[in-house]
Amino acid sequence: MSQVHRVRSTIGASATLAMLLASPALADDWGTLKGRFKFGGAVPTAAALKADKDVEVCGKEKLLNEELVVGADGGIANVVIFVRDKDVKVHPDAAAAKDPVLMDNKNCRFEPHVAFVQIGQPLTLKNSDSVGHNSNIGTIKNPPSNSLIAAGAESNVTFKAEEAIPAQVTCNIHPWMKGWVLVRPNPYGAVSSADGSFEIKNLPAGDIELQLWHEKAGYIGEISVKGKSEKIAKGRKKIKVAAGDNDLGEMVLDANLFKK
Amino acid sequence: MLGREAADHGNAHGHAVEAPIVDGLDSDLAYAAAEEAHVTPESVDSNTGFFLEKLLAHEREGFLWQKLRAPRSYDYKKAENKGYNERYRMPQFPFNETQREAVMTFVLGLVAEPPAPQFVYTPNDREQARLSGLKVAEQYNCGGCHTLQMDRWDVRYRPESLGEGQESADYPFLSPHFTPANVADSLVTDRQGRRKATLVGMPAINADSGKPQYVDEDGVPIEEDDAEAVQHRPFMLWKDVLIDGAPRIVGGPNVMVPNEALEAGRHYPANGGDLARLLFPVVIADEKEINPNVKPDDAWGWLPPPLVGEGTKVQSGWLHKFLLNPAPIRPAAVLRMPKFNFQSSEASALVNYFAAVDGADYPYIYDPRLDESSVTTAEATHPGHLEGAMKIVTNNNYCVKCHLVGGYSPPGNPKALAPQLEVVHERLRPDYVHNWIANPKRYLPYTGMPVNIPFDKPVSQDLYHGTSDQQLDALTDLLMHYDRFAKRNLSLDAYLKQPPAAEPSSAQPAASIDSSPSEPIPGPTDGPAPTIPAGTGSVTLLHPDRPAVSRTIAVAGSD
Repeated sequence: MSQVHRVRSTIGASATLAMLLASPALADDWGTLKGRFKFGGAVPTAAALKADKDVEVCGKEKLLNEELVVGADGGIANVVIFVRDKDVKVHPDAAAAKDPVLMDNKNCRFEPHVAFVQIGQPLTLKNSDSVGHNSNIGTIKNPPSNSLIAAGAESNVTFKAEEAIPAQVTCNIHPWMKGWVLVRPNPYGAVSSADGSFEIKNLPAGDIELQLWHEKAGYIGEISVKGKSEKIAKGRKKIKVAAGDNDLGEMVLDANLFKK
Repeated sequence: MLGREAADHGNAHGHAVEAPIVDGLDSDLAYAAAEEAHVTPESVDSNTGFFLEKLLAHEREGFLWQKLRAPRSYDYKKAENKGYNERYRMPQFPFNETQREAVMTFVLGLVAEPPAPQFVYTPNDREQARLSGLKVAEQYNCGGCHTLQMDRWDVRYRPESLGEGQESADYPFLSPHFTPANVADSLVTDRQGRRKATLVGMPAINADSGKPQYVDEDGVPIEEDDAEAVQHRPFMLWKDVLIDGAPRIVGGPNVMVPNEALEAGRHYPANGGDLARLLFPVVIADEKEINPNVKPDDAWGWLPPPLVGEGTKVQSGWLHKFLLNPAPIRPAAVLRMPKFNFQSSEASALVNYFAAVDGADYPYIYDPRLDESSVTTAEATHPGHLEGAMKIVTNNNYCVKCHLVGGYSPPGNPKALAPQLEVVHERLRPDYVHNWIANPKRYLPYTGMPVNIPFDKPVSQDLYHGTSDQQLDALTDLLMHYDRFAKRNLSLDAYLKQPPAAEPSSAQPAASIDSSPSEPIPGPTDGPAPTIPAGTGSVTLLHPDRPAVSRTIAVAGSD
C-alpha cells in the first residue's frame, strides 16, 4: 500500500487508477491450476528394457519402459497438460523467465522423460554418462535436430515454432532410450509428476482451453472426476480460471485409454 | 468379304466367285458368297483384284489389305474354342479405300527399309545409358524391392497453406541452391489463387497399418472417428524445393500437404520400392517385440534402400563388383541382396544407369581426394592429420559406437549398428562421404546418424586440433585412404620370428624393429602366423606420435 500512496502523491489519482487497471501483476488477475491424474484400473507393471550396449553404464540401473508410468497409489506420471490458446495473456514474471531447460542423458535414459520448453528457450541436452549419446529430436514444425553429445558434454537447442504435441527424442546409439519435448509459445504447461499431480502457475483469470496428452494414450478423450465421466474431444477441455487457486481435483483416466 | 481362310477354302476347291466383293460384309457372308459365286482377281476391278491376288498368294500386301478391311475375318474357324477375351482385338476401323492404302503404305514402308535417320530416336550417351540400365532394372525387377524414383507430387496450393519453413544454420556447402528467378516462380499465383510446387520424396506411411498417413494441420495423426479434421499428408522431401518463396530442404520437417492441394495438382507414384513399403509396418511390429521404444522412421534403414542418388553416392567400380557378388553392407538390414548372376555387361548397364540419372561421372571417376598426394599434402600442413581422424573414429563417443571398423563390431542390437567403415574408400565417392558426415539427414532424411561434427562446434581438440571443416576433411581423407593408412600402420611383429641375437661381428646386422604397439589398427594376432619367405625388404613403420620411418629389415623365413 505504501507504494501505491507514493505513486498517488506524485502522478495523481486518475493516473494511478489507470495503472492499476492495466497492471498484470495484481494477484486478483491470476490463478494457479492444480490437479492430479489417476489410473483407472489395476496398476500395471512396467516392462524391463533390454540394455545390450554399454552395459557397464547402461546396466547400472534397471531400465523400465516409461511409456506408461503409474505409481503405487495410482498416480500417472508424464501426462502433459497445457493451454491451447495461442494468444493467452502471459504473466510478466513467467514471460521473462526463460532459463534453459535441462534434459539429461543419465544412466542411458532421458531425465526428465518429458521436457517442456517455450519458443526461444534453450533446451540443454546434457550427457552425464561416460559414454556418447545422441539426441534425435523428431519435431514436426521445427527442423529436426540430431546432435551427438560426447560423454560429459552438453548441447543447446532452441525452437522457433510451437508444436501441437510433444516431439519424440531418441538415441540411435541406445535405441531403447525415448523421451519427449513439448514446445509452446507460452509458459502455461506442465507434466504430471510421479504421483500424478501437476501445477500451472500464474494463469490469466478467465476462459481458457486446456490440452491433455499422454504418449501412450495420445489425446486423452475422457476423464472422470468424482465418478462423473466427461468426454473431451481431442483432449481439449475448456475451463474458467478464477483468481487464486483452481483445483481440478483427482481426474481418473480409464485403463482402456492406454491400450493403443 | 473374303477372309484368308475363306479365300483359301475357295482356292482349294477351285471355285471362282464372280460376285464383287463389298466392304462391310462379315466373313460368314463372304464365305457364303464365295461358295455361291466364283470370285477371281480377274472378275473384280483391277485394284481389288491386285490385293485379292496377293491375298490368295499369302503375300504381305494381301494380308494387310484384308486385315484392315475385316479384322474379324481372321477369327474364322478359330473363335469357336476361344473365349470372348481371347479373340483378336483389332477393331474395324472405318477406313475408306484411300485411307486404307495410306496405312498400308506406311506399314509396309517400315518393313521395306529402315526409317529415315531424322525420324529415328538417337539418344545421347547419358540417355542411352539410362534407357539401357532401366531395361536391365526392369528385367531383374530391381524396383520390386528398391525405389528407383521417388513419388513426385505437383501440388497446387493456397499461399501459406503448406506451413512455414524454418531455417537452420549449417555448413555453407549444404545450403540449397535457388536462383532469384526460382524464388519469383514459386511466388506466382494462378487464376485460382494457387501456387505450384513439385515435391519429390516419400509420403508418410502409418507405422501400424502401412497405409497412407493422414494428419491434421498441426501434424497430429487423425483418429478414425474424427470427421472434422482437415486431412493433410506428411511428405518427406528428398529434393530441396521452394514453397511460398522460401526453401524447404531435405532433412527438414515433413511438408504437411493439404489433401485438396494434392487433388488440385498431379501425383506421379514412385517407381519401385513396393516390398520396402509393404514390410515397413511388419519390421516395426517385429522390432517392438524387442524394443518397445523403436522409432518408426528408423525402420526404413532396415529395408531395401531407395537407390535414388546412388550414382553420386557410390563408386562405379565398387557397384559393378557388388552387383556381381553382393556382400552385406548394413548389419541392420532384414533382407540381403540376392545374387542375380548378372552378366558383367548387365551390371555395367546398371552402374551407368545410376550415374547417368544422377549426372555423375562414369564409367571412371577422378577426384583429387582419391589421390594419395592430396593426403600427403594435408599431412605435411597438418601433422597427425590421419592419426587425429582415427582418434575420432575410435573414440568411444563417435563412429565406433555404431559402425563396424575392421575386425571390430560394436555390441548390442544389430538394428543399431551401421556399415563397415574399412570399405568406404572403395564403396563411396569422396564428396558424398564429406557431405554425409557434415549432415547425414541432408542426404538420407530418415537416417538416425547424428551430426558428429557440428559446423559451429568441432569435436574435442584433444582428438584432432582444428576447425569443424578441417576435422571433416580429415575424416574424409581417412575413410577414403583407409587401406593405405591401415597398411602403413600394420605391425609385422605378429608375423615375424625374432631373429637370433646378432653376433657383433656379423656382416649384416639384423633389423631393429620397434615393437611398441602401434594404434589403433590391430594386426592379426590370433591363429598361426602365415609363412613368409626369408630375405631383406623395406618396411615403413608408422607410430602415432612420430614421423614415418622406413627401415630395411632382414626377415627370417618361417619355412
